[in-house]
Amino acid sequence: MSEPLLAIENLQTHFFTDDGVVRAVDGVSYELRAGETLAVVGESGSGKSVTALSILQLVPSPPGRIVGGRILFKGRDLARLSAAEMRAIRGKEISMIFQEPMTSLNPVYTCGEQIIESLVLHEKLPRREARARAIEMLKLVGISLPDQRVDEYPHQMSGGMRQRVMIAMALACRPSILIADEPTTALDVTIQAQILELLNRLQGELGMAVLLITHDLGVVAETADRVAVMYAGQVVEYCDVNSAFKRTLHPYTGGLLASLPRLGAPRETLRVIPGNVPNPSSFPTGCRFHPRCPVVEDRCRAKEPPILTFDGDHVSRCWRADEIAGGKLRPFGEESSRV
Amino acid sequence: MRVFILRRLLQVIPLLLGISALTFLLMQLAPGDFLDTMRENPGISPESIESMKTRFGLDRPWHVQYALYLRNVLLRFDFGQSFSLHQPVFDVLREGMLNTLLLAVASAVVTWGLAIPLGVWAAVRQHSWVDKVLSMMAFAWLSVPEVLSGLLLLLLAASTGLFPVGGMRSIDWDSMDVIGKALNIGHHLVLPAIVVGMIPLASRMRQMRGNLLDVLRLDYVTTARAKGLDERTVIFKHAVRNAVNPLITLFGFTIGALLSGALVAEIIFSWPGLGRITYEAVITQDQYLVLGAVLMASSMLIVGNLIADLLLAAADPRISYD
Amino acid sequence: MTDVLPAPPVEEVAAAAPPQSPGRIFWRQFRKSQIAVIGAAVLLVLYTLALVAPFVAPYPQEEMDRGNFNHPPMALRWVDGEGRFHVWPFVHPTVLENSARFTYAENRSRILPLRLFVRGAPYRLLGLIPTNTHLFGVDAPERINLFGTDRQGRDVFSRLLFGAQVSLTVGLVGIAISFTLGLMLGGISGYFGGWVDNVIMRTTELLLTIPGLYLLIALRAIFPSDMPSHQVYLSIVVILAFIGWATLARVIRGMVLSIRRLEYVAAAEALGVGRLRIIARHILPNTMSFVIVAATIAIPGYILGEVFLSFIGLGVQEPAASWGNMLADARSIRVLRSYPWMLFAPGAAIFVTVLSFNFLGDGLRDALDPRRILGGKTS
Repeated sequence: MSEPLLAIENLQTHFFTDDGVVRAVDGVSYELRAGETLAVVGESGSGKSVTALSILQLVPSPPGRIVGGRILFKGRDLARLSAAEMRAIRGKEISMIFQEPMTSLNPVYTCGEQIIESLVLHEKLPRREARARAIEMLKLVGISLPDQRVDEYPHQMSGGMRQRVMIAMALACRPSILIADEPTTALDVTIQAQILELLNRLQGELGMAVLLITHDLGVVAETADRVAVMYAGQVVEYCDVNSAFKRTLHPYTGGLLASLPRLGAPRETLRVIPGNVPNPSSFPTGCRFHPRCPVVEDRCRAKEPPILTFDGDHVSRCWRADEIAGGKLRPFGEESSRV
Repeated sequence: MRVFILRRLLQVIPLLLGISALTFLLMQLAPGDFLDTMRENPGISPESIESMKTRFGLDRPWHVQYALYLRNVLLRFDFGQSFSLHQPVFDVLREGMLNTLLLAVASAVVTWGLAIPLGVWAAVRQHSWVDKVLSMMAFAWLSVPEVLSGLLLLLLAASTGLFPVGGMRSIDWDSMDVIGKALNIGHHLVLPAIVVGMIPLASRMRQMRGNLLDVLRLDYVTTARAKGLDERTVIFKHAVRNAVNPLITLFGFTIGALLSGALVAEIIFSWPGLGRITYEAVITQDQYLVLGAVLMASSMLIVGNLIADLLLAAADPRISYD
Repeated sequence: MTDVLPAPPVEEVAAAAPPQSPGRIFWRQFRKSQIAVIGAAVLLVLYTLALVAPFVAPYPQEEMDRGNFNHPPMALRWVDGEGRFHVWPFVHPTVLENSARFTYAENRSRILPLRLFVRGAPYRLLGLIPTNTHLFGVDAPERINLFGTDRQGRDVFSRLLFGAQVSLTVGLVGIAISFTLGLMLGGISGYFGGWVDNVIMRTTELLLTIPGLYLLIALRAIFPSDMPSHQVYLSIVVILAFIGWATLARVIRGMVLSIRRLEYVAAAEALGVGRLRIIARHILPNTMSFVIVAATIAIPGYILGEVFLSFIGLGVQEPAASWGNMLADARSIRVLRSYPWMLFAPGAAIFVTVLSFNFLGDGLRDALDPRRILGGKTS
């Protein structure tokens, strides 16, 4: 196994608000290797976005703060770098794209200008060269007529095109890691497919690692090499994508899979995970999933489950993971195994 | 864009006609006329008053007077004669308008030159003592009407002697060189400009602060930070640049208040602008002067609105008038 | 294969609080804003003082004291010239030192204790009850001038109170008229559309293109310059209302246009409810929160309009008092330098009034913010 490019170790990011402390990220660990795509899956409120923002120290800092853990990147702990050191990394070694292409680009500057800004800042290119590179990037991300589009404003483009511009802007300086926070959620389904395919292709061409944050299991299946499932500020399952779908070792993941509607299956009511995501300022005691878990036991209510590793690289945070591994337990029934 | 400007100017014509009609009507409704003061003077014979009346056309029915007025304005650009100043109305107004324009521009410098930096400062130091002090000051400024601030500054000028107490030029203005003349006018301009600009300053500063706080929460600001830009660039190049746009929109709506504020300052500081001329014309019932002045003030407002719209189109690429 | 247990969640569902009416929510939010409450309290005090002005004022507004021109404010003291402490406050009488420049000196050897509920000039309390009791004063023939006197020897404090009656109420009456007009015409314009809408909107455009004060003084010229006081007052109110309805009408029209398309209006129409009734009972009530805030924010403008007119001599005339014509006395530089209380007394009154309205308006606006009413996060 090669050294991981990015290693998050027991990260804790808390928000200190007037209404109390919100433990949005409370002990998250996962790794990203070069050339690999890691999908971080979870519902809203699971802490997946805050983890990603923590990597680049972009968490809004009056209420939020990294309070514990390490984020190792090329031998340095990103959580402890100064603002100036962080700025050298953002956009150059690690880039991030966001969910809403409609609002993620500045409306008063042209797309070209926003890409050029990155190039001038990090690679110190003179403007003419930067402009040429910007046009190249636009072509790379599949935008037609790039020399015209470079002078257009965001409002003149469609959502899919804007997302491509975001990608071009993020990759302009050839970062080694791209963090994509729900890049396709706000797009139409057909455009979604195009953007995912684009990301796959670029990953191959540029050899970068991708941290893909999503709540959509279909996206995970298509693009990920490994999966980290997050719930209530913690990673509850972490494994390769095949194991995630066929040999899941956590009831929550099982529940997510079971709730996907299946074509061709006999008519049935949709299975849902009962209950709601817990309020991050007051988590349940013991296992955070226990109020909604169909196979809950007393020890689940009492103590937080340990982090157990199976087969070398399949991590699960469940008291009964070994029973599930041994085939004796199927928390959500047949459907919790997807072929 | 040119079509847009042309269309706007054409739309203005019926508006100005309406204003002229309304003002004419008001002056007609006013009891008496400017000859009243002369009537009280025993030294002027009734016959000469009558002849003045005919000469000034005051004996004709109102619609005839109005028609004649319109004809003169549209064909010969002749706005009539000022009875009290014995000059063509247009000459009187032209100078007055330029002086008011000067005052308006100076006050705009006071307003915008301070509102934007102070608003930005308060926003980036939100909740700090700077923010709280500026908020309180803004609230206080907003509550001091121009009448009050004018008199207070007048008191300041009179007691300290640092500023002239009125007028536009010093007595020895003619003997100065060009730079001296300009500086002298500038010196006279300071206090009235502060009076006119202070309330808009307070208002814009609070809005700038609010807008910037809103913009700083938007996604594209996070994107800018994620690119590795330093905070100064993020705030000024990305955030402030967007946060000013609503203020530009607002600028168009506040031109009327600006002109009204200038009127007060002109009266208190004897600044020879359009406002003071209007006031004196109303008191002396100098009919055509009032008419011309109101039309001119309205035109300034219209042109100001047009400029504001054009500024907004220049500043925000999402807005296009084509 | 174990059973799948679709167990409902064990966590308790929070007992739903009974839904609160918008009125209660508004009141709670309003009280949270400290400055708004302060503003409201101050205004309450000011308006009460104006209401009972003849009682609180020691002297009638036009009463001249010819030995006492341009007298500076008298200080209330508790320690006299020999260092003795008196529990009850008093003032020293003064003598005229320099009759050309009106300087006065305190005569420390005598004290004039403050008396409460003294007998003074007769008046009608609230316009109804004849009486001659005043809140405070000193033994006759001496006078107490807490804020000094003007160039005709009239007590500034008293004139300030009587001036409050004019200046403070102009705003309320003017707002009432112009907002009624604005609501009606805006509502009709938005609801009916067509040529009615066109005419009303063109008229507002006309009125709004003439800068405010220009229109104000031009309109004032219609009325004769010598009118009895209450007619002047009425004419000022009418003028202010005439200018003020236009902005509100435009905004109401916009709101009506959007409300009109909502379904409950269509439902009312389908039931055959008369059109004016629809406007009055279905559409306009939804604009209320905005109107209340707009009214509070607009009142200072009306007050300042009257102040300005009186200041330039086109408003309330002497000998009646208004804060505006009291300011006019301070217009000359000589007066400003030598007798600054003539500026500071009405100036402070105006400032406090406008500030309080601004506080109140801000607080109301936050309290009526729909995001708070619906319980969502405000940021």
